[in-house]
Amino acid sequence: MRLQYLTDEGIQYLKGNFEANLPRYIQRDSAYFADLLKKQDFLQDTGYDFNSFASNLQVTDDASTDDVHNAEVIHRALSDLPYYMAIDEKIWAALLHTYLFDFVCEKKKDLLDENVRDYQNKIYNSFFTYTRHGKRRGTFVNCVASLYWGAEMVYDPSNHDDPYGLLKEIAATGYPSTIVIFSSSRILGRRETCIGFLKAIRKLRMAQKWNVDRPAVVSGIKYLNLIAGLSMLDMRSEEEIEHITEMFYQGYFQNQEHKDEQ
Amino acid sequence: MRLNKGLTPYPVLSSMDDDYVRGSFRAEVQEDITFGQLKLSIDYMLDDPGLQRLLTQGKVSYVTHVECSLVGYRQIFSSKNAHEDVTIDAGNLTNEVEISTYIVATENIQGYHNEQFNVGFGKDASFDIWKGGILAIGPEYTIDINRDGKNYDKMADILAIAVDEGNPGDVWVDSEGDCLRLFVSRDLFNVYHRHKASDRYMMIQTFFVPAIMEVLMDMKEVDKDSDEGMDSYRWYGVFKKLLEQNGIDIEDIQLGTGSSKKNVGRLAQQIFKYPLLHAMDELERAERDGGDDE
Repeated sequence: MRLQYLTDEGIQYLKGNFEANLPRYIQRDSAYFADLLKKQDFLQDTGYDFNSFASNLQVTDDASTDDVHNAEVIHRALSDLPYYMAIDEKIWAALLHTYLFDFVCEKKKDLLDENVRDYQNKIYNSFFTYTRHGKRRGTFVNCVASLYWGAEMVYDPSNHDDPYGLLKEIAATGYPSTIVIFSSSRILGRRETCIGFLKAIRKLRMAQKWNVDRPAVVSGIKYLNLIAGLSMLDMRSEEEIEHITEMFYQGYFQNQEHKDEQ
Repeated sequence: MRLNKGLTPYPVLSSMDDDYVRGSFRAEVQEDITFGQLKLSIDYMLDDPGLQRLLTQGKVSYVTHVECSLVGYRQIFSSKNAHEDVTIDAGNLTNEVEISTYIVATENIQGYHNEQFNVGFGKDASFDIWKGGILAIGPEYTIDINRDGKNYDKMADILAIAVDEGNPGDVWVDSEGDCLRLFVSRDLFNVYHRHKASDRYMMIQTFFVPAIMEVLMDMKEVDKDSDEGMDSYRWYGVFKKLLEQNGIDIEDIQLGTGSSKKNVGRLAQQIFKYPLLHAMDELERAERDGGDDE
């Protein structure tokens, strides 16, 4: 299939008329958007092909499992995209209003309701990526673009059996909220650092000795950021990052145990 | 990359403070973006005998750190030499790109002492530095790779693959139209469409690179003869503009073999952003995936 993008005029039109179009989003009216974008000539060809993947996406009662599965499906389909396209709202807004419209509506069906608090913003964040959160954060808040970028951050080509396996560690503390934390740490943008960190987390969880919850994950990221403020963390190998993280958590959890005893 | 410079427990050579009494570390970075690649030419200038000695001993190296925070790209380029050329795929970059220069410990250094340490650190002070410890900070540069308002590569609009039912063994290019059409047999056409998504670069390398080499040769000839036929076609304008944007006049295109940057073979690789390299990655990936299935 051909990957399309929305023209600047198309993005401006959809954003400018978002309130007027809100009922169309709520009614899951994909035909309306398909018609509109076609008539106004708002969709253009990027020159990129992708294998169709929408039918492989899943929405069940288990959002974490869905996120892990869908992140892999989306990333596999779009992995040829250069970064400057993968971060571009013109690509995502086109996908979200056409090929993936039904998927987004199904995934976000609970939000497509005027009785939901702040439903306008939640719908807006689901169909656009450059929002009041900013470009990067907005992309990681979006329910589809965040799946692609999460998979991009943790994709481990050296793990032939399960290159996307570390997505489970992100989803363990709730994928949407955890991936936003990851996105805000610049050092985790380097894949070796992100993978080294998550491997240490996985090892800790497998040992089942301590509860590696969200505050623990945040503390580990803060610690790595602190080291990066003093030295060139990007010079460290994946194994070294894993080791540094493990050392940190030994102290972290021992301190917690000590506090609990007191 | 922002450092909490004030937190380092040891002196750092920098123009921003007086941790060192004498000496300097500077770096000049020239950037050039051509055919989707960012090329950095970096010259490091170090004036401090103590750090120079560590450099000679291989305990520290010059480092240029490139970061594009919007897409999360971070990469370091280490060098023992005072001059370094670096090439980065500009497809990984957009908006602001920060380039920072440093001297960094490449191993743990016990008891580092430098005669130029400010006495405020103590008389004959020495420090243990870990691997990755930053010993000197050079200048920072910001490059703006602005893609706002730009549309995507329209190569797809000027290149197409078509079936020649009459001459099944032949492969040929029709350049008489706005779109260049590569004619192949039905079988090859089907192979192309089966693989164009999964083996994109292999298909570009196999089908389009040879075709574009022929086209570039034709373009050079057209210009030389002042023939007004071809340049009225859309594909001609797109290629002409692309070459000009990268500082190449059509008449400078070099035919035949050789290492010139204007050689048709090299230009074809650059126009498609190095498909041979990516095609090899695809091959290796396919081999690996195939191996996993066994």
